[in-house]
Amino acid sequence: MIAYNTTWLNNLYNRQQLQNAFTTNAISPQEKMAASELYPDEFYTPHFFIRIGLFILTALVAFFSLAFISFIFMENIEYLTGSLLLLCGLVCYATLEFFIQSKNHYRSGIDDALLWLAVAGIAAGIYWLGNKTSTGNALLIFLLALYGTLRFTDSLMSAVAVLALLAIVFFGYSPLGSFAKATTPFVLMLLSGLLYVAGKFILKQKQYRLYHDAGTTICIVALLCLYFAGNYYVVRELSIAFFHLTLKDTEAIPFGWLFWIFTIVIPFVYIFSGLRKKDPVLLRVGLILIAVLTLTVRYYYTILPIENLLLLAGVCLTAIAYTVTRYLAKPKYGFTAAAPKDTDALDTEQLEALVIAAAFSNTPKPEQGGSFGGGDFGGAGASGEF
Amino acid sequence: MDVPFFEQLHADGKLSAGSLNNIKKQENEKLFSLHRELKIILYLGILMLTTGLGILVYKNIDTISHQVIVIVIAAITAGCFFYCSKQKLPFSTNRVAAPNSFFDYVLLLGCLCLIILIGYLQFQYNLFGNRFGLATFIPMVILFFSAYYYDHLGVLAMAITNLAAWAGIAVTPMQLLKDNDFNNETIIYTALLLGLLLLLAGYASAKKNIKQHFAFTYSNFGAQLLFISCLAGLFHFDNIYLLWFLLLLATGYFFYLKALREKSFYYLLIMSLYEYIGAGYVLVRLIFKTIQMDASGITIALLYFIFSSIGIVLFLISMNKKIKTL
Repeated sequence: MIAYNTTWLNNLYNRQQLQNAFTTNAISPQEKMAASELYPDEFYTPHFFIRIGLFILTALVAFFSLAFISFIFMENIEYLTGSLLLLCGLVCYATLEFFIQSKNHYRSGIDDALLWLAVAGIAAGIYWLGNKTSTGNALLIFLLALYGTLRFTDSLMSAVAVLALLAIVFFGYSPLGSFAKATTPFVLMLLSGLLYVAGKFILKQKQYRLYHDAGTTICIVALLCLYFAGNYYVVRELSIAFFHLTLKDTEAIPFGWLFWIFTIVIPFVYIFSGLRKKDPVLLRVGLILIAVLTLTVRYYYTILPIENLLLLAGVCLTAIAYTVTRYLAKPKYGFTAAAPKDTDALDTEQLEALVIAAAFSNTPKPEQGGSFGGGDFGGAGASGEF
Repeated sequence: MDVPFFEQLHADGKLSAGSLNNIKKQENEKLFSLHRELKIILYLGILMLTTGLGILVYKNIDTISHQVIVIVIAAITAGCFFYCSKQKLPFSTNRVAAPNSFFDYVLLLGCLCLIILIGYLQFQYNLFGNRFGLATFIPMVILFFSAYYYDHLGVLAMAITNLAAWAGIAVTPMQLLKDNDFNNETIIYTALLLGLLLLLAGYASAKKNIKQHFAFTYSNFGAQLLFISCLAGLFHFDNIYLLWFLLLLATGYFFYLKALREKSFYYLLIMSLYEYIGAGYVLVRLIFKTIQMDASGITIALLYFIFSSIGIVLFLISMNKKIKTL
């Protein structure tokens, strides 16, 4: 099923294990060298930056080729667009298989780009040729993404598959009547929960270990969807957009209190179970959702002026981080505040410096006063991923 | 770690009993690290705190409480710098590690509060008179000084963005293209000069062994500025665009050599992409402005883009091999 050579994939996994054991000083360099030789692979996987470059350029080649063919058939372009897109997707797919089978490309940027282009081209082509219903499109994208996940173990494809599956249920179930409409959020939450369980299952089973990245992605996306399906703002806006619910600006939705409970409680449930199970995915998703929770509440209720809220939140966050770091100076209950050993300190530091410059360089300035620039502050910090 | 895998290795005689024991021990005593989460929370906290303070001080400018706010900011600044000076390890031109895990954040908080304070004093009391440059120049000097004195890469990056702001351009990745008017000739020349200056600073850091780990931050900002100002010059100066193209090629060649010397895939990548954009522009310009072709021109341009992209793919693949074997 997997397009890549699975022996090599397993060998890569084993070598990674050896590398991890080596960075924590569990095994000697000689042992690592000797054992690594047992697990060779002939994949073509260039350096990460080269991968980015190859990705961009492959996408450009495909884009300009499509433009070139469209230009040749300029006269009849309105009849041909769908077929051309479909053809482009299929050619990308054929090229993808060629690069993987004959050139041994694995995560080289070229295979990443071709996979995404193939799926996008085929989906767009079939859409253009007449597949115009929402459910039909969701189904098509789901099938393509599922195939992409299974055959290429691609994370992004697994995320798309999860979203498309939820979209199928949304578009398929909600028009069935007023009861269906009212229960749609719960059905979506239930389905997301099941998908999370499925993702966890993939992660736990040794036989699916090549799908490890896809499994993690499924878990992350499922957790996010579970939250957003029950988030007050999302439910309210989607009800208005899709179910033609007419509400005044301040009017609450039916069962609004229930969705407020979901909105507020779920992030904390994630964080606590993340800490209890020592599961970084649950913990991090929970932390991100705290921000979403704050934004949701603030959208409807102005508790404090923004600067006071920022100040208060800033003091609280700094205090929490300080206290926890102090508390965990010596490991307690299996937790530590120290950096994990397997990270490359200097590289992260260089990246961190750039993020700091981007996030902190715009301190607020008064709007008047000729000597100062615009008062465009903050915001970029949340994108910092170290 | 996958313990059964290591057990199998041990059974095959590839792993000593001691190493297997190490692995089992590590697996049993494995700690769950909250390092990254705490770090992000701390950064977010400081960001929100300083942003909040910065708005607060201007919003309450007419009330009595704003004096209190200013005093609070001044107190935080003084406290932070006092703490840092007390805790810091002796200065050295080499890398100096932070004495504890909060040092870097305290310094960052101190620097940010100081900038807010200076900005406010200038706004309210015209502290530096009407020489507008000074209001950005002084924070810049303080930031550079702090970066070197306390050894903080993030503060250095902030100092560089301040230096650029003082010269009149925005250099943070998000704003580089958005906030600058690259049709303004002064900005193009300033960016070019500043890029060269930063490159020189990076070179000097590495060569003279003064805070060698600062070199990449300097060179990176320098490289982006240099390439972008070359492209901007290429697009802007209609008559002498070929001269700017030559400059772009020279810059590209410089970074090609730098990439080989430092085994840097990063410089190789940005060099290739900037040169690709520049060359594409020159060709399209030749076709449509100089030779003035229509349909056949589009065909040639599209074919050029297809084949030049494939060409750069091949170039990157071969360079990847070359740098790896260096």
